[in-house]
Amino acid sequence: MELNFISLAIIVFLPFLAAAITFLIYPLLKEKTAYFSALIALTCASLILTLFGTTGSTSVPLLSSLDVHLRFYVDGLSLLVGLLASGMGVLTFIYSLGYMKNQRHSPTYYAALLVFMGSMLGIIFSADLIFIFIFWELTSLSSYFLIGYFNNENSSKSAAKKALIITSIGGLLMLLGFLLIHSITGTFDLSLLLSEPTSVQSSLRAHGLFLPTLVVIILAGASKSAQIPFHIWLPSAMVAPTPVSAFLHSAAMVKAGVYLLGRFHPILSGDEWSLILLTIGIITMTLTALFAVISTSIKELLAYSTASHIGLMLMGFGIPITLTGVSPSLGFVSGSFHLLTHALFKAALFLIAGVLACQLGIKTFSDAKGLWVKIPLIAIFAVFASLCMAGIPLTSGFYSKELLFQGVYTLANNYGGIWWILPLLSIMASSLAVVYSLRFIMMFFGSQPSHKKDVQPLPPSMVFPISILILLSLIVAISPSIAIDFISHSSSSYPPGHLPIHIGIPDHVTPPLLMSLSSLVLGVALYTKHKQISKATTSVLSSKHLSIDSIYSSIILSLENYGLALISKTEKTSMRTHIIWLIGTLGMLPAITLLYLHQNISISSSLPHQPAFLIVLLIIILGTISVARSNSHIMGVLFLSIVGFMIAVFYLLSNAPDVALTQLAVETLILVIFLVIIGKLPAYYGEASPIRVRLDTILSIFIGTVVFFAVIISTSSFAPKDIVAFFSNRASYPIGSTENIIFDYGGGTNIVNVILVDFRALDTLGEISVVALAALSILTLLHSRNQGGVK
Amino acid sequence: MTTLITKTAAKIVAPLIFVTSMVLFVQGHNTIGGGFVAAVLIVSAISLLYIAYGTENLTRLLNIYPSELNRKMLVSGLMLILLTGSIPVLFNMPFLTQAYWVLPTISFLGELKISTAIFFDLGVLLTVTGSLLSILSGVSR
Repeated sequence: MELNFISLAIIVFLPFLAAAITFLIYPLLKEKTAYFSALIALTCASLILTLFGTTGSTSVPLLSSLDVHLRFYVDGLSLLVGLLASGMGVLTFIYSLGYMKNQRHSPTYYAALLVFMGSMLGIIFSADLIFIFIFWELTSLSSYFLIGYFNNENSSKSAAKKALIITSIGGLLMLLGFLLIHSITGTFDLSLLLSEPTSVQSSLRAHGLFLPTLVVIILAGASKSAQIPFHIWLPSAMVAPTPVSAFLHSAAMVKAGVYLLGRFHPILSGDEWSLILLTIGIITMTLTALFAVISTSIKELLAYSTASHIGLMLMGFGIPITLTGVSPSLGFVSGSFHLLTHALFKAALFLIAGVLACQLGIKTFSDAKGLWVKIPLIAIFAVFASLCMAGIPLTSGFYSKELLFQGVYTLANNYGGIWWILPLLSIMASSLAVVYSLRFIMMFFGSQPSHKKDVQPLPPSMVFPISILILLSLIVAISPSIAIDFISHSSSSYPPGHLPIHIGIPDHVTPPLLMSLSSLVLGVALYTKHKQISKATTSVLSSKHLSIDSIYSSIILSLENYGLALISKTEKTSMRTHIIWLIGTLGMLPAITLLYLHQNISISSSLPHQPAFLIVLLIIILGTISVARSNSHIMGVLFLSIVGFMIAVFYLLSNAPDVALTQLAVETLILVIFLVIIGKLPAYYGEASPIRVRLDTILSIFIGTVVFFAVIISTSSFAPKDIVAFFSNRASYPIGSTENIIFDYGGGTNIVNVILVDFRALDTLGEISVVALAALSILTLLHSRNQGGVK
Repeated sequence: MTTLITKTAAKIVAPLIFVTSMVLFVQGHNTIGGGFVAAVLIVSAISLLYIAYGTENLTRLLNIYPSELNRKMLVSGLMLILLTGSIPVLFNMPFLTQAYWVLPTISFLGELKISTAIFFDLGVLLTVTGSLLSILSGVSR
């Protein structure tokens, strides 16, 4: 089915546009910018809703000559995750209005959140692997700002850096995987790959690249989704403002990894896929649940439990599609379904934690004692969401967990033996989930309210998003089949006619139900002993060798030390020595290329013969020699500009007035800039040693020779006649045309300009981007010049 | 170099350069000129004023020269190109496709043609001006 390209383009790019506009309208709207951003998110969410039920792809050529297309792909999974990302965006922006009241307001906050949302939607709806990679890195980048920018403490900076480093490593691994896929299939088009998933997999296998691709893509997803051993960035990232945590660390960013794995599930699923995902999933699910039980602050508990629940989703994706007795899509549906239910209750819990932290200043469990009297509504919400998190029967979390239990039970039943460890560990992990959920609930209760000050009425902008999330969780709890139907759309790549996935209030005792009940009982039993558990595990985990965090820190520290050592070895010398390396490398690269090119050099044909040219060339040579021999800056600059002006004359003689004009203008500007700064330069460089002079001379001659040959070869070998004819025909107007709007012709009589702004506009864009980047780099260098640094 | 002669000369020459650069910009599509040359000329004119009046004085006198303006110019030039270049994508044409309109003949103006490339060239002008002025104000500070 053909999709509406424009609405998809708006969904993805409107947030980016809005982010730019934020800076313009912030002075007018102040904190009301939250409403503007929420409106943008709402627009995206409603556009996504209009796509409901559609599947398919659409594309528009962006740079057709480079085979770059803007492609979009829509199916149930992308609609589900996209709706979550944009819907949570709406709620987060509304919530931010109340939350940021006491914080430093800035347009950057809203802009970064909007950019984040746009990149998230970009990952979800793009059907081009390169675009997915770009958006993926953009989410890492914007989350870096959101974690580290608003709190000027070192801890938040290092946390932001940690998140950036780990997720970027994942991103690079993902790019590697995409390139591997491209090297075999020759396409970056995801919709093409998804249309023939089995043949893609078999051709990957035939080249022996299946396992490497599989491993890097799973690692990419695991790093983004904070799975062991990459989980360490998530608890650290909790220094971010709470709305950011609710959005990035429960509903959106961590789900990007899950989405990626869900997207590649049809292509990569197989025995290896199941084995790796089940292993990562079960380890993460169990261990991080334990970390959540022993955590000391409220947000830390939520962070670890998020990692644990994502482990559950990954296990769902890992359940093989070949199991007998259940639907082949069971695993996929259970992972996606849990993605939905988890986002709803976990975001609500984060927002509740935000209310506690922002309005009451509470960050640890003991501070919240007896609070239910003062904020009964929030306490009720917290209890309900925690029950969902624990997977208590008849809540939303129960149904999604039940599907996974069914999956692992059937798996163990099919294969037997060692596989029984999966259901056992699942029960263990979910009983730990019961324990930490109870910790969250019980912190509100207790005999003595420990804080005397009165609780101010909560702003409605903070309560409203929480109640929406609770309401949605309630809907899923009452009628889970709505969500399942929605998700089943996305599993269309599996053979139809299989056993339906049963979901609903259990009417008879099944093994999964028994698993749920036993983990509930075990959890309650463990909760009574959780203080002892905390003590025991903390003492075990405090050993340094077990901590991945300390491994990460030591790697980063040793890299930093190595870099510093390298700098102190190379930076001792002067600027001039620096330049030698730079220019030498710059000369070597084309020199090597020229040596390997084996080009026949036809100098005679490309050199002009008229006497005027020879005079100009003679002046240029004389000028160049004078530059080298001049003994002050001002003389050197003047001689250099003589050379420059002569080159302009050369262009003029070659019938290139446009280039000559540009050369003249640039030459004038360079001269003027030199005059501006000449007062700041030393009168002369000082005496150079003879060896130094000889070295410099050799280097200069080398560079000159390389440039000479590069120019001669590139101008003599590349001038196909048809291109010249094309440009001279198409630059101007079509003769005798009656159309009013004309695309194929340039419409100008200056061919040079028409080529620059029309036919080769992309090249020009690249060139001026380089100019802009150079300007920004120079500014940065000048800015840091007076700031010390490494001496 | 802030002598009376340079000041007087700059006062006369700089506006002329500005006008020339505008002419070069507008006529660029059909005869010599274009956004890049125009930008370089603008920057030359401003650096001439720099030399004649000194950086601080110029900033104070004209009040046109906050360094943030340069960076805004740089960014808005690139944004202009990206945005106008993206419009054809919405109509299923490649990025940066340009078109031109032939307006109905008006008696005294003759046939009038308007090309979308003028936005691209304006973007080039803004970016290059912003970049060069940023560098200039950076190094002369």
